[in-house]
Amino acid sequence: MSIADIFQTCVICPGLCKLNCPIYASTRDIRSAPDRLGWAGYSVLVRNDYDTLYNLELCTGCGYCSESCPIHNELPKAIFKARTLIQDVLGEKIPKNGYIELNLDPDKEYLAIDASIYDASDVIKNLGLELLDTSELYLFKSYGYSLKIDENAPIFTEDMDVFKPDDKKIYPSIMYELPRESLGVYTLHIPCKARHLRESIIARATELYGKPTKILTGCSGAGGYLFKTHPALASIAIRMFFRRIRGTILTLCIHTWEALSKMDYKAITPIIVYRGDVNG
Amino acid sequence: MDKVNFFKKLRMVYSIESYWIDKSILKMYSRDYWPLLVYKHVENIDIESPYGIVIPKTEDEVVKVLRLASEFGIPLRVYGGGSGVLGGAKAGEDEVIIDLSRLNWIRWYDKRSRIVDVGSGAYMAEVESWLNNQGYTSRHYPQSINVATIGGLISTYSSGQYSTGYGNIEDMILGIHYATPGGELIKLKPVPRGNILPILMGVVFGSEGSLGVITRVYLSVYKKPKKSIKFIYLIDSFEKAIEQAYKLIEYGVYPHLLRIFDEYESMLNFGLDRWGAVALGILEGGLASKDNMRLLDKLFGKKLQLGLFEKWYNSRNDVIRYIYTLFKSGLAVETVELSAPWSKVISIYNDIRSRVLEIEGVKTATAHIGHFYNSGVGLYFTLTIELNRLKSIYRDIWDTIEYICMKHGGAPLHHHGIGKVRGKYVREFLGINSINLLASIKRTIDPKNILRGGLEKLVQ
Ligand SMILES: Cc1cc2nc3c(=O)[nH]c(=O)nc-3n(C[C@H](O)[C@H](O)[C@H](O)COP(=O)(O)OP(=O)(O)OC[C@H]3O[C@@H](n4cnc5c(N)ncnc54)[C@H](O)[C@@H]3O)c2cc1C
Ligand code: SF4
Ligand code: SF4
Repeated sequence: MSIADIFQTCVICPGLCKLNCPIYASTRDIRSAPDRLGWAGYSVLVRNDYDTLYNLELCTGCGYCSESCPIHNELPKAIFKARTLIQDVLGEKIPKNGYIELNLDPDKEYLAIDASIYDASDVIKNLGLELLDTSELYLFKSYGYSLKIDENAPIFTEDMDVFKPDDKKIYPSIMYELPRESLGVYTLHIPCKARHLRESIIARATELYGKPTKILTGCSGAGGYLFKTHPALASIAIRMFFRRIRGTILTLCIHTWEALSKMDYKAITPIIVYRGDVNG
Repeated sequence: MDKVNFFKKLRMVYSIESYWIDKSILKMYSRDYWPLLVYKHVENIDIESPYGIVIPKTEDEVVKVLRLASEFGIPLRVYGGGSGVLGGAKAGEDEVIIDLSRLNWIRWYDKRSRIVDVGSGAYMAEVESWLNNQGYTSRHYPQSINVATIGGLISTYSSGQYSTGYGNIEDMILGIHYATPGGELIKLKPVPRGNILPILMGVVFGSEGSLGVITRVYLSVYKKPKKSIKFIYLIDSFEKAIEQAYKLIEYGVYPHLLRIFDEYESMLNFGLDRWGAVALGILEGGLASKDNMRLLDKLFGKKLQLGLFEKWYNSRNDVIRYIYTLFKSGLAVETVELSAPWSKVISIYNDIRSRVLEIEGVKTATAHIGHFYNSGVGLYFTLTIELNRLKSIYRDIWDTIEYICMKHGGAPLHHHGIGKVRGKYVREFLGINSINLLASIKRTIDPKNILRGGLEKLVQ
């Protein structure tokens, strides 16, 4: 069967193997369900529709789906082949390091807010920026497309770059927008990329919610990409990082928030992505 | 409708996972398993995606989602496993899907009383394998066991392969929690039986997510039977097989699994060299006796090799093999299930078969019966249809089958629900007074019409 045929077969299948997929069964992220990977591959290859391109990254290639498939459809093989093909066809357009340009207007400054999560219009206005309400888009793109997964490499190099060490404003400013209500017992997580703002973030959090019971600084290991591709690994890292935590976790990292929400933690986050130079 | 603020509040204030921009996920919810959409998808025709997705992971989050939806006037559509075959879980572009698949806990509620507490988003196969590992079983085996959630099964009023002996989904649920569109959690604790409970349970039984969102289910389960006898017979004709099954039920013997296939399905499934109708099944526990086997021998006559039973049993859920082969020959598959009283089942079967085959583009129409009651059966048609004509004759096919069934005194549905296909037949079947009553129930429970689904279509 051709790759397109393999994907097409999953499109007409109700997804009989989906519970055999360790990724889907453990994350319940529909994008990783084998039949949906078939949908994704089918759109990419047959319709030239790349919206679901990155979903293909969610497959680890373990082969459990095709083993349990009544017709042993070779889905993982097709997924891997498709990734290579896409790489060949799209070439340069696919970045290796998990970042896609959003075609922004170079004359404008942007603050990209994690899609829908909160109304930051005042902050944005105060900072004299444009709102780029697409950070969910950013987030999904930022899962990255990389044929070679290097777990030691920093995952979000690009957005770390935009947080310049002298940028004192952005995280604390955004925190004005958090609901002003008591969180009760809470842990404050200051992610790697906001380390340099530690003190002002703690001050702001204390002002808003009272003193955090615990403060954790550094990378939780959640990295959106890692959590998508190696959920088991990421989950272990996250559990290690947040061990012995009670109550809510207030994290300033969207990837950590996303990962925690999928696990059994109660987590909230105010933000995330910033593009542009707030200091002008 | 203020969708943007709805999502902002969902994520920011309640930290509930939700999406509304990311097409990589929105597109994954663009359909369920309604054949009209499946073949559209395969043929590469655009299918609209829902406006957004909300993925709560606790009952509390479901309640919050409903409250917010009500506050902002957001239409919600419940999504379980998306295995429904009539478009019930298919959302329009202005609707937001609430995916319950993360409500997937399975734990004992009261082991001594054989009651399990299950999150409504657990797939039936997960529940069954969890039980099997401990020597128990649910005995609810729909063919879609791997792809249907327990919440979806309740809301479509599902029927499984062991229904004749163990009953349908409504016979297995002892208690339930559901969230109303106003954001109240109704909690019905499990009890063996109780006045008034049926009314409250009934709100979500078969209403396809349009009156409440099922969050938790208390399932009555069984010890795996130690003893069982499988059987398989070949009977001269489907008509004769129906007659003999009628007698068996009259004797008071309800095999736990019983299925009879018409001559065409018998040929197709078992590759026999003789024309006739296959009857097969399983007797379990106390029913698995020599006396009952003698009764079966007497009624059904010629035994077939048990190997044929095993072959069917082991591959009975492997639908993709069949669907794929037909698809490659340019054929689509559609299924229609009906409820027929004993006195009418043969005329319903014969009339439907001959009339539906007159529609140009319908290649085959075969049937089997897999659900037997004292008063009648669940009759299940499988049609193969030329793919390139599917869309144009789809309504014709449904009209033919449903109206013939009703004309003979059957019900135009059994266990797949109403979805986007059956509203008009069910309206006619129920009559205007019942529809008006349903409409006022819907208005009372859901005055803002937040929850979209089968009933919402029916009372429009
Ligand atoms: C190959 C195949 C074989 C099948 N065999 C059978 C069979 O043997 N027996 C049978 O009964 N059915 C069968 N079906 C049909 C289908 O599996 C059922 O209708 C099932 O109940 C749908 O469950 P789901 O979780 O997939 O629900 P979905 O398809 O996601 O939703 C179905 C409907 O229920 C609503 N809903 C879902 N979850 C909830 C909830 N928690 N609360 C409120 N409303 C909810 C949705 O809004 C929708 O209207 C089969 C389907 C396929 C594809
Ligand atoms: S691999 Fe097989 S069982 Fe899984 S979705 Fe594809 S066709 Fe279906
Ligand atoms: S090969 Fe990919 S899709 Fe298949 S079971 Fe493994 S991770 Fe899931």
